Order: sequence, then structure tokens, then C-alpha cells
Amino acid sequence: MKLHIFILVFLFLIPAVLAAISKYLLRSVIALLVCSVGLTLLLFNLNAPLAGVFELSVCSGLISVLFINIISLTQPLSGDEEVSKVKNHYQRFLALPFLIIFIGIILWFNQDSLFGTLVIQKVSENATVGEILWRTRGLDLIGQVIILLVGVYGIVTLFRRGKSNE
Amino acid sequence: MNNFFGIDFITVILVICIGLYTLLLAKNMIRMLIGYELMTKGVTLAFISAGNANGRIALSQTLVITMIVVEVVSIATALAIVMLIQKKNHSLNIRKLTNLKG
Amino acid sequence: MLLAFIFVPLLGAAIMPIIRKIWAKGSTWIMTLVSFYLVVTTGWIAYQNFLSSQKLVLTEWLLGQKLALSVDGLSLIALAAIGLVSLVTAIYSAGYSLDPDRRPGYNALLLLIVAGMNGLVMSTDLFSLYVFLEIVSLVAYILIAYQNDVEGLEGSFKYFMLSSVATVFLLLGTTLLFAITGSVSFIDLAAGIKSGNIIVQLGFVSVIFAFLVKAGMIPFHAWLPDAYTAAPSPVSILLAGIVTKICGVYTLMRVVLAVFGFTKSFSLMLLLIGAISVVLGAFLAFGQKNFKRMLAFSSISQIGYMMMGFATGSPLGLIGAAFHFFNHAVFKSLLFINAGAVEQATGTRNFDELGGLAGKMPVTGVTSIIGMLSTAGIPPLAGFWSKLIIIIALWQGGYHSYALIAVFASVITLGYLLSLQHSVFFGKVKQGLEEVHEVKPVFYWPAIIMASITVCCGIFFWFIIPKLILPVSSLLGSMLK
Repeated sequence: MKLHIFILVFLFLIPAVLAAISKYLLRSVIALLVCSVGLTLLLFNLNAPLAGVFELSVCSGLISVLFINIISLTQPLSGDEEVSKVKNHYQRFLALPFLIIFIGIILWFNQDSLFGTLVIQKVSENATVGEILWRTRGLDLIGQVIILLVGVYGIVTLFRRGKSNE
Repeated sequence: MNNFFGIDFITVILVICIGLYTLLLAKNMIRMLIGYELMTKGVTLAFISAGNANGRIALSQTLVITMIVVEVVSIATALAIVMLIQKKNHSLNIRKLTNLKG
Repeated sequence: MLLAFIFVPLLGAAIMPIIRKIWAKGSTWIMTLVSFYLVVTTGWIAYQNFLSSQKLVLTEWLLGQKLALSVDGLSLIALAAIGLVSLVTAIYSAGYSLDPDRRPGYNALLLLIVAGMNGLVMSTDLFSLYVFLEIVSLVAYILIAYQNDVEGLEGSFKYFMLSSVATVFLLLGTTLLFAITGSVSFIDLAAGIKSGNIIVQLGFVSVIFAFLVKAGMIPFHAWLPDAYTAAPSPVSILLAGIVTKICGVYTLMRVVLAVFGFTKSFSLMLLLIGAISVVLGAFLAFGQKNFKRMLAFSSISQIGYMMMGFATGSPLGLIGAAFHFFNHAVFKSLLFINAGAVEQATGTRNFDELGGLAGKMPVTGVTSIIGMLSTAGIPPLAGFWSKLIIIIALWQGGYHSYALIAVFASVITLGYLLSLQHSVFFGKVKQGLEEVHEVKPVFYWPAIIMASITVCCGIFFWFIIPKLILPVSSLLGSMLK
């Protein structure tokens, strides 16, 4: 019964490590995408389908596209140079998998002292996501509107070339 | 159910460690942003597993949706800044970014 | 009423693209009018509530359901500071040379950061606090990088990286607390975390860590001088005057007051970090050759004072911290206005190339002396009273050595600010500065406004402290019950 949880967790963690240690940025981004898909499966498994869909469409879709765009826009100028320069790349990141395994083992054997005594009062909840979002999280919605405006104005002003700059 | 919460939180801590490690040791600015992205994925999982554990899964989903919107905008802005730096500096290496000192 | 604090700037920002087409100079006017409106509304709320000697807690229900916004004494002080600093920033940037094509976008971003800060100050749950904190930081990154120069972009990216780590830790802490209590609003969190188990401790530590990074306290201060120095002058006024204080200091105060409460170990930790920031910030400021960079380190040192005052956990310390919060917003933005004016007039901010400007720029010289004396805590200016209250609170709380450190750091502050004055405004006129004259009125009027507020707060402290600052201490009382 527990096994599928472990499979999903590893589907989430291994691409994350790969995204960190891969030498080529494009491979890192693809690993990030796979990691995001793994996270989506975990979210589905935790009864959060809506958040899972958001994660799948926005994080693994939109953000990967953004990353790949930026990489393709910046690499032609400095691609080979960047790769040849970071010779000791694997040396710096070699410690990461061992560190992660080490921390994982420590946490695994201490989880009773961390989470075992945890008293979580269960709250029963009848409202759906939409009701909660519209009825009680109004301030967050205003915040989302503001942050979307910030994004639009920010990107526009950052990239607008004025006359004096030319 | 309690045990699942434990497994999920161990995963969260591990992913945040991976992200932090990447953020601290990477030289490439885009890779630093990938580290940041990994950390936010960890936080997403943390929210949902917390909601699953205490029964308020709908609330945690609304929070995660808001969080994803916020993170996308901030990643997009950061990528725009990285691109402008690359245009000026002709390098993505953070170690070459040393104009401000003191 | 309270919703207007968010919606009026938001509307102003939303109509910018239309204004840009029909009225070229309209964007600056809208920014100025909106911030003036905010100052007036804050004053009106203060007048209505404090002068009728009621305990101020204004709340507003949003969409008919749950408590969404609230204003109490501490938020009102923060709102007043936000309004004032954004007003002078608006006036200052009206004269600052920006590309006319990009000016509406710039003003829209200023309005959005004001909306974000107002929302942050009035929010009543930890997650809304995160959303607004992210809005404020995001606009700050964009505005620092606004001129598209390498320094600005670099400062912006460093700020982004450090503050994104802070954001992740804030969210992690939120999830841990949410797991225990099943809610994110301050009231439910405070009720739910009574059992002090290890998860609550972890959540507490990561939330506080996030705010300390955002405030730029000493071990985590690397981004702050870079960001302040690299930003365009009006943006650095806004950043130094209010943004980092709202993002770090106010949020920390709010979360500790509303949710966690004081414990002995937390007080000691915050006192230690505050003392390190006060002393090291002052010493680091001594070595700087750059006007803005010195002020940035001075800012770190002053934030340390607020943290020390707050850490005592006594009503007096809270009053001192809140008053210093307001005073710091006034005098630090005044000093940054002066720095910007000097840079406008001479084209440099390096001390080695400056000297003898007092005769050439009388208004800037006089206002900067006022700002400097207030920073150093010289009576009868406002900074003296707030520092005095903090030091008395430290002494009364039994932290004698910390009180002595605070007095000692005040002397260092006076020292480096005197050396700043000496090398910029007094002494012989340096070569190449003979032609310098006073800047345009639009650059020195903000300085005059801020200097007169500092002087008034100092002289009328007997009116201001009991009427406007004292209600803050009731927050502590409600928390202890």
C-alpha cells in the first residue's frame, strides 16, 4: 500500500537531483519538467486534483517554456564558452546526491520524534475550492490582480527601449 | 495517515535542500533560478500534504493556486532581469557580476 | 474605507496606459494626488479615532464573509509613513530625468508598490501577508533595475536571490503552522499553536529567519547596500525610507505580536542580532566612500535599534520601536533625498570628489544637517526621543549592557555622519565644483517637507507620543490576555 507513495516520491526527487547536477541547462530544464510531472502525480495522490492541474499546466508547461525561451535567447552568444569554463562542475555537485541520501536517512530514522508526537486536529470541511477562494480569500484575489499588473508593467517597462538609450 | 505526512515532509525538506544547494553553488544565473523553482515545488507539496493531514484540503488548494500565480510572475520577472544582464555583460556567470563592491 | 487604501492606487495604476495616450504628464500628477490622498485619509482616521481616545481597531469585512482587513495603532503608523514617503518620492521623481516614454510605467509601478504595502500593513493572515510581501519585493526588483544599467541589474538580481530564499522559508513556516492549526489567519494561528511542540518551533524559526533576511539584519545584509546604491535616486528614497522596513521590521513585529508572542529565548536572540547590526552597521558605515552606501549601512544600524527596542517585549520598548520606525522613514528618506540632490548637482556621490557644498547648496546643506542630527539622536529632534525611549526600555528590562551598546553606537553614528557632513558640505570647495548651484525646487521641497516633519515631531513629542504612538502598546496588552 505504501509502495506507490515511494515510487512517486522518487519520481519527484530523482529528477530534482538531475536538474541540479546536469551540466547542460537544457537538460536541467527538462529534468525540472519531469520533476513537476512527478509532483503533479503526488498531488493527485493526496486528493488535490485542482492544484495538480495547475501545477501541471503552469509549472511544467509555462515555466518550462519560459526557461527554454530564455536559454535559447541567451545561449547563442555564450553557449560553448559557458560549458567549457565550468570544468569543475561535476566536482561541485558530486556531493549533492550523497548529501541528500544522508539527510534522507537521518530524517527517516528520526521521523517518530519529529512527526510521531504530532497532534493534528482534523477539521471537516464542506466548502469547495471555488467557494473558499471567492468567499474567504478575497484579499488574495486582489493580490493576484495586483501581481499580474506588476508583471505586465514590469516586463513592459524593463524591455521598452526609450529614445535616450539608443 | 500520519505516516504519510511524515514521508511527505521528509520529501519537502530534501527538495528544499537540493534547491538551496543549487542556489548556493551554481555559477550560472539560470541554474540559480532552477534551484529557486525546485524550492517552490517543495513548498507546494508541503501545503497540500499539510491540508491532506488536517482535512482542509480545499483551503490548501486555494492557497497553492494563488502561490503558483505569484511564483510564475516572479520567475518571469527574474528571467527578464537575467536576460538583460546577459545582454549587458555577455555572460551568465554570477561571479562576473562584481560591479558593486565595498 | 480601508479598501480604498488598496483600490485607489490600484485604479491609478490600471488607468496609466490610457492616461499615457491622452495626457503625457498626467502619470506624475496621478501618482502625486494618490499619495496625497493616502496621507490625508490616514490623518483623518487618526483624527477620528485617537482624539476620541478610543482603542483603535478598524476592521472591514470583504464580500460579506470574513475578516479581511484591519488597522490598529501599529498599522496606522506604518500607513502614515508609507503615505509620506510615497508623496515625497512622487514629488522627487517628477523632476528626475526619466525617459518620457517609460515614465507612465514607472509611475504605475510606484502606485502598485504603494498598494502592495498598504495591503501588507492591513492584512490579517499569514498567507495574504506573503502575497503582498511578494508584490512589494517584485516591484522593488523591477524598480532597482529600472535604468537598465549593469549596477542596477546586479543589485536587483542579488536582492531577488536572497529574498527568494526568505520567501521560501516564510512559506515553509506557514505550511508547518497551517498543518498544526488548519488555518492561516492570525487569530486562529495564535489559538492553535499553544502546544509548543517541535513543528511549531520550526515554523516559528523559519518565519522569523525570513523576516530577518528581508529586513537586512547583519548576517543576512549582503543585498541591502548593493540594492540601495544601484537603484535610481527616487527609488532608493522609497526603498530605504519604507520598503525594507515594511517588508522586514513591520512584518516581524506584526507576526510576533499577533501570533507567537514573546519568549525569553526569542527576546535574547533578537537583542543579540539587533545589537550586532547596530554596532557593525555603524562601523561598516565608517569605511564607506560612497554617499548612498554609507547611508545604506546606517540604515542597517537603525533597523538594529528598532529590533532591540521591540525585543524587550515591554510596552515602552514597543512604543520606542514604533516611533523609531516612523522617524526612520522620515529622516532616512530625507538623507537619501539629499544624496540624490548632491548627485544631481555634481554628478558624483564619491566623497573624495565632493566638498564645500554647504555654501553652494544652502537648502540641501541645512536639511541634511537636520536629518543627520535626527539620525544620530541629538535633542530636540525626533530621532532623539525614539532612541531615548528604546534605551530606557532596554535599561528597565534589565538589559543594561545592551542599553550601553545602544548609547555607544549612537556616538559612532554621530561620528560617521559628522565625517560625511565634513567631507561633503563643509571644508574647501573641491576642484570642478565651482559651478555647482542649488538644485531645482522640485528636488529640495521634499527635503524641506521631511525636515520640518522631523523638527515638528521632535518639538511636539509631548503631544505626539501620548496621542499617536501610545495606542500601539495596547497591542501588547491584548496579546497577553
